[in-house]
Amino acid sequence: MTYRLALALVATLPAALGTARGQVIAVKTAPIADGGQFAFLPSANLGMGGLSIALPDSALDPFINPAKGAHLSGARVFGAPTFFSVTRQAGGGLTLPLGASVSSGKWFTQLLVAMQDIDRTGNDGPVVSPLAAAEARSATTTTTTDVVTSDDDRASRQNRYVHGLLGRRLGHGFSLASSASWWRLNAVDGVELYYPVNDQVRQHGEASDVRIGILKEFGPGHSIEAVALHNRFAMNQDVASTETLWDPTLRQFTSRARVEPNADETDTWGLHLGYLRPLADSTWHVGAILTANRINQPRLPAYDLPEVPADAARAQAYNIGAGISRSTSQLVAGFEAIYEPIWRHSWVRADESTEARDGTPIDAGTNVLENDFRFHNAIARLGLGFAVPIVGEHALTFEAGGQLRAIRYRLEQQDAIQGAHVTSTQGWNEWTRSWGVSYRFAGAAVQYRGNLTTGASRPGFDDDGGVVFAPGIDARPCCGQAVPFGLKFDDVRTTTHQISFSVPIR
Amino acid sequence: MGTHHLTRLIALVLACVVGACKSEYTIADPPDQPTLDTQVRQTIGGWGVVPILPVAQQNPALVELGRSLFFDKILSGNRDVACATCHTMVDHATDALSLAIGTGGVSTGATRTLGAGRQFVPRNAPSLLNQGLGLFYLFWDGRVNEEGGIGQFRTPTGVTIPPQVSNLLAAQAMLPVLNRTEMRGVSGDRDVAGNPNELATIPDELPPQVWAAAMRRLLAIQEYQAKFAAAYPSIPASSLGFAHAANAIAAFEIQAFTHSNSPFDRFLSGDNRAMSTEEKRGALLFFGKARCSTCHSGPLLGGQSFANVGVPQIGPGVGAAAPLDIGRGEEVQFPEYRFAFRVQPLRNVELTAPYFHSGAYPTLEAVVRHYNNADSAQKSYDPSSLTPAVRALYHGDAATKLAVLETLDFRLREPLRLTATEQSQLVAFLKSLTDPAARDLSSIAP
Repeated sequence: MTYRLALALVATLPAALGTARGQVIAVKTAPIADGGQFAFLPSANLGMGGLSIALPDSALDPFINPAKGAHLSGARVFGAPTFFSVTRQAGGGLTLPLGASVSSGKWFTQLLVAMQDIDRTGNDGPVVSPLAAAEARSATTTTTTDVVTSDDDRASRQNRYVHGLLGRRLGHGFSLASSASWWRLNAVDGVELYYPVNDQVRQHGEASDVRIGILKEFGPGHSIEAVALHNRFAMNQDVASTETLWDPTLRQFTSRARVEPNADETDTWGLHLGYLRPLADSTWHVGAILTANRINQPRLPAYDLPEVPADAARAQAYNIGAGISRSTSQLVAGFEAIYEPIWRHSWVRADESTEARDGTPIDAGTNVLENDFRFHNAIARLGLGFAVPIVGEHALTFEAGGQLRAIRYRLEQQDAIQGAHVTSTQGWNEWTRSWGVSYRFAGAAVQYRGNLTTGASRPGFDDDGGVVFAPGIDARPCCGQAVPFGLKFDDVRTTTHQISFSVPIR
Repeated sequence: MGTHHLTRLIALVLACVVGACKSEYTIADPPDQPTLDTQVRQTIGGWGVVPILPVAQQNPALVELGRSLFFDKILSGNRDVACATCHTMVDHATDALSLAIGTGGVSTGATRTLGAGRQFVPRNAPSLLNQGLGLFYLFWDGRVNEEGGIGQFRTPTGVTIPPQVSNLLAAQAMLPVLNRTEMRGVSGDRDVAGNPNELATIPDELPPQVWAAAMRRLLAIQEYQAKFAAAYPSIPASSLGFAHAANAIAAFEIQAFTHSNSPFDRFLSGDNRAMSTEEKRGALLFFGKARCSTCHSGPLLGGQSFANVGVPQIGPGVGAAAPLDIGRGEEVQFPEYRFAFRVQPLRNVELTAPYFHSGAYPTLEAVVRHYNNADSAQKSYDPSSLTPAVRALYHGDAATKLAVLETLDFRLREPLRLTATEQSQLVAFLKSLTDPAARDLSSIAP
């Protein structure tokens, strides 16, 4: 991968959160690997490509539409330890979710808590300043009071998550429920890589998700559902770097610590409709979904990467999909396809009065750069499962599947300062292969599922981990600006492993 | 519907989805090149070109005294030349002349002409823009410098800078009043009021007496007494020397002529949109193929070394080499410094024509053409852009050209082979070094 592929990086991080929860449409403007940080919720269909439209997912569905908690029975405890890793040491982490669900009479409830530990990525540490590397003779260091110090090496990279659900069966096949989730975030996977000249990035923030869902069941496998949601992602990234400057008064190079606060905020309002019905042969089901998101990003971070600059953005995202599945006592198979049209508008506002290249004055507060994205994304999922009865209620199921996520967009940029209008297109495919095996016995289940995603990248450095001087440039120790000479974008593979269990407790 | 039907259906739909995705967009293999911005930043990174901190705020009373002195002709022996005569605000703190015209001259700026019996100052008057950004060498031959360390000012033979001088720029300000061509005048001169020029009667080997005489002129004026008192409240008038006047002039120059907020500076500070594509391509050439940065490096894009770039010899000459001007070679007796001059710092260079120590070229385009093939440019130099008086001082004989080219900097011995487009891009980059605030200095004048 190259720099050009990262031309538009913004919105990647909230997108990662979006991919973890249905009905929040991920808006990705660059082929940056999402990682698997937010994909830890237990899922029965994870091994089958994550099918969800025409094949119910007994474990994940209540997290998507809380009203589907109506399918919960009795009391259970469940957990889903999940590991993910990104190749080239570009990310990774471990999540330990533990939950319980209770259904009694007309009421049902579910609670899940999770602790998560995110790996440090390759660039989280002293980096890449030619000045630092050269032991510049005359450099002095000034340190601001709020600089990220080495104490932050011990700063928490642990996140916490809590999810609660409460619902009621209303009769006549209706169920109504609401859920709320809350993240305390101290680390989002891979963020350090987006600030390649940083010495340290301190992250803190939170994310929340509130949903209300309704489900109407006409009979077995025949239902219609609606979910309304509000999802909020708000992170602060305090980026500390060492900046080299010339001090004309002291007539020497000086370096100073600079802490640059970056905020990354995304608000999403969403509405989702789903329909599922059996075909004449009750082993076949077809389903359809329609989702609409209104996404507001009042503040976007300024990554140290080649990208489309933007202070803020708005988007309207939709998806429409259909799926078909067949379930017999031994076979489960399904396919679904989703089309995602997205309109995204981002802009840069002039902080102060300036002028265009042709001398035209530009007032403070005027948009000096406007980016209009038009996406035509598509997702296709395919999954297959074979159950092998062992004895009695004991059964072993093998699963396999895959997902293709094709992202295509056209970007039109209007640059008021340069007086330029540029149109470009971008597209890439992300492939996910998944697999799984589960063992069911006496109402309990133990499952292992994994997936591998390719087709995306993460920023990295050359293999020597340091600065690479451009050909022909005198690489003598000098006093240069910290520039990530070796910065490049590496193809990476993201692997997720999940071991989940569900045990009845009465 | 059997399982095989399902499989066929899935395959068909998947093919349609993928096919539809490819119908409108081409996923071309991206080139293995970083963006232009990244290329420029990478290329700059090795040359010590970093953002510049603001200069320290100067004492307002000192600046005000310096402003008065800078524009006052009282400092010249004949009371007809001020600092501002050769460093006019209209001409961006230079004079727009190839060679400066000192005392006795008529008019100002580009229309200034020699007075009767006078001769040109041997070199182009350098702009004062950004001279306070921390240079270690001043003057074209670097004869005022701090090679010995900070505060260890080296000056022309026989001139000892008083210890009260606070910085290199102030040390420089001590010298023009000593120079007979620039400000002091020659013995027998009378000033503009017809009075004897007492500064010109002092022997050249007694600079302290010239300075003392200049101070007597200043302190005889009540307004200056008040301004010195305000600038130096703890120093009695009897202890004031010309060093204090020079410090004030330097403070004023630092305050008034520092302009380092050019598009390039804003780019250095992280604003990729500050420079146009053409300017960025010019930057790539400047720091790459055109080899400019092998000399014009560091935070000031020059000012820290000397080079013989084959500039035509024009003028009355300097020192023992006159009528030639061997530049740094006059100061240090190393053959490789013959015809070498200070590598100019380049911020605001667009505003400081004509260029080089002899003012040989009127435009940046001509300068870039010269560098593209210095040997050829030296040999085929056309002096027609010079004024007749200066043209008469062009040393275009073969022997002089050969002498200059003998020590031509090794980096210029082969043509750069820049195309016309590349030369245009280089000029665009040089113009991106202009701070818009430096374009109009008219508000500086009192």
